[in-house]
Amino acid sequence: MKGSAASRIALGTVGAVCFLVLWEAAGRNCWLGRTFPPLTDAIAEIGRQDDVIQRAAIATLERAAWGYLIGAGLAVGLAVFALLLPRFAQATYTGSIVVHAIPAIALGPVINALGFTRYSPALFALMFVYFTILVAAGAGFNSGSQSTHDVFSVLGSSKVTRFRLLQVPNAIPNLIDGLRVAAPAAVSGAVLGEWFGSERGLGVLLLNSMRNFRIEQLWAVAVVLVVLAGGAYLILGVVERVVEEIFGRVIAVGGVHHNGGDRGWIRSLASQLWVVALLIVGWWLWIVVEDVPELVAPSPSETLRAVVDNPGLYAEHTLATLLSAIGGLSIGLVLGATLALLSSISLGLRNTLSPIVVIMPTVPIVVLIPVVARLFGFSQLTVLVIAAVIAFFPVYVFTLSGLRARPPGADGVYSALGSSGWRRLVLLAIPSAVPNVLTGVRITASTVFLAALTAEWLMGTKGLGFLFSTSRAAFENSEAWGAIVIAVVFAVVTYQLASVLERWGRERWS
Amino acid sequence: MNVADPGTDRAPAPDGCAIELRGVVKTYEVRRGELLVALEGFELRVGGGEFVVLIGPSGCGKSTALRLMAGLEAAGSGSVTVFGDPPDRTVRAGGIGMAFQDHALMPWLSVAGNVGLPFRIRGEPRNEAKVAELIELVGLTGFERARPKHLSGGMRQRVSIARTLVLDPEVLLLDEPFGALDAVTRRSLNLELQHLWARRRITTVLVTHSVEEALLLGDRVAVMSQRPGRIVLDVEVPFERPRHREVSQTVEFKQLHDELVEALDEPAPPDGP
Repeated sequence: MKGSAASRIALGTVGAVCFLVLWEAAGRNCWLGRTFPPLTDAIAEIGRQDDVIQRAAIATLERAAWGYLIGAGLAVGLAVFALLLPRFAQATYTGSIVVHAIPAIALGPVINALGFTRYSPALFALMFVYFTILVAAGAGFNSGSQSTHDVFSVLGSSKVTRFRLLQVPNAIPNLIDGLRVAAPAAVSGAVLGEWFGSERGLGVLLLNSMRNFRIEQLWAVAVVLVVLAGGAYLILGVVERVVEEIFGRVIAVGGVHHNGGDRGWIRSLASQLWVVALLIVGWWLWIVVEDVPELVAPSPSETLRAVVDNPGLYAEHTLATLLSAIGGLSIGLVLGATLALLSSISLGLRNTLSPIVVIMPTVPIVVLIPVVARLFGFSQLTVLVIAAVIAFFPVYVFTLSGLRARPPGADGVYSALGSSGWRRLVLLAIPSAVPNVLTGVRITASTVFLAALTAEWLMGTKGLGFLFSTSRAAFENSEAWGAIVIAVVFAVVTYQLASVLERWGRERWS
Repeated sequence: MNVADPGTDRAPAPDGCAIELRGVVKTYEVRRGELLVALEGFELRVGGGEFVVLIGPSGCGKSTALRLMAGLEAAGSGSVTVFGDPPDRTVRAGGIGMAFQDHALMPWLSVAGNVGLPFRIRGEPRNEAKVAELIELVGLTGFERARPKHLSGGMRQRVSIARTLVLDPEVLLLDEPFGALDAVTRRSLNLELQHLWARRRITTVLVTHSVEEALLLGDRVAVMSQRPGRIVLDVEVPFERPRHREVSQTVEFKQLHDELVEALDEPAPPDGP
């Protein structure tokens, strides 16, 4: 079932080499067009421009690091707050989901207008990492068996002692896991932030080379970004190994559910709505108290009026974004699940794919957008492809782990009944994988929306992101924010629907 | 407070009753509006220094009863007292030691760290001599620095037992501590536990599935009915201590064993699930 370590490494190497050779061949022979250069050209370009790239890389890394550290601090602080004051846990997490769903591209212009342009890369990095780390820390603090908690209760432990001696050590493996996953996101955030008026940085280089058809430079910068993000990811992976050795198992990949449970979904929905209401009141207060001009940010009522006045316009662009996001999610889901199924049958395929699967989560999402845009042109097709690529990997990874994790002893039942491998897959592996597939969908659901929006904003021809960018250009700020609000609503609703679906799937299939 | 010698520190209540549950009802809300009655009319008295074993069919509420005594849960109605007060009082004084079916060890702490954990939870300086003594008592000398994952299941439970004893508790609550072990390990740990207990007769309640374990360890065995759980049979175990393996070969043992098994097989009350 497992295969020896040597054969795993060998197949992994074969996979990596195949991937690189394919890339090189595709580039040399222009299989994917002129905008897909061979890897060696991209590397040669790094050598030619090493001083420019190095300076840009240092600037970007510094901003990413600041955002990462502050975001991690904030996330851990919030998770501790939610843990020690359970009454506010739901509000903390719901508020975070909504804030997390606000597209960074909407905040970029606000940050600029307020004169904080130079902080936007770090700020975006912060926004990109904090939610992942919050969820990981929350899951970590709440992990650990009932009986270990009972040990503390029976001895009359104080809340603080329990926190220090039980919950903190419990959280460490999950927290490191979250920090690892967040590292590439910090780079992503810094790059996106640099698109809003920074003077230097890898994000600036990336955007300029996309716009000026400097294909080699575009790919060179993308390669550097992937290596940087991947490096951080791998280093934290080693840390995680060590920590796991000391602190024991890592549990709870699925994250925490603070809604639902025994509370009934209507009450849970109500308690989420007041957080949303609070955010809207906060927005409105900010506009009124600070007397913010519409050019910086419109008030909630102006935004609402813009939407109500142009229902047709918004419907058209919303539909376009929905098509790209949901279409991409579906394509990613089908491809990811199918490939995972094939990988679970063929050990060879799984090991051959493993290097790509290891590298892909480290690729900063926003780096993909200019690269895919140059491959597929400035169109909605590109948006769809980006959404599909983003959805593909989590679904693949989660499905594969689900296909491999079956109820203990179940395999024996099927073997004893003389069931064939194929039948076992259909009757046992696929049903046991359903919850994991749904977890993968939930995790990508809102990301896909944000990615589609960002892509539309940068190079789309339709959709809410496109509407935002054209309205901004025409100084129709209320109209622009209308697009963002609709996008946020859809992102949150999609996430919540995916959560409900996941919970149903977990109950039904496991 | 000083727990070095609780034997004289807190004498059992005048009538010699250490733990008392009277007319206890415990219900859980399984889903919205759907109630599960775990215990109903539950009565149990445990004398000071007595070893009482609770047995009963799966899901009859044995563990719930134990959790009530530990103050981990509150009864819906009826009263639960430990030395005449609600359990919280003994909990606050660190007077309850409890062991669980899963060892509940902290994977990041060594054997010595786990055994000494109660001192840290209580905010007291760790009594190294006491930790070493208990590790020796459960036969784990030489493994002080090992982590739980490097130990066998039986060794982990030994660590867990040592941890429950480290503060010299006045009450010992054991929730199927040997339930996950193989029969051979289980038997030898039963005999070891008996020796540990005989050194200082701590008031003990043990929850188990095993009738044999109950007869080897208990002064009294209380049999619970199916849910909602109550005591349906309460018998004295007449065998001399220390009890050896051979006692289980005697006719008396077998008769008592059969009697208890029969009581366990009582059908559920007509209105039960």
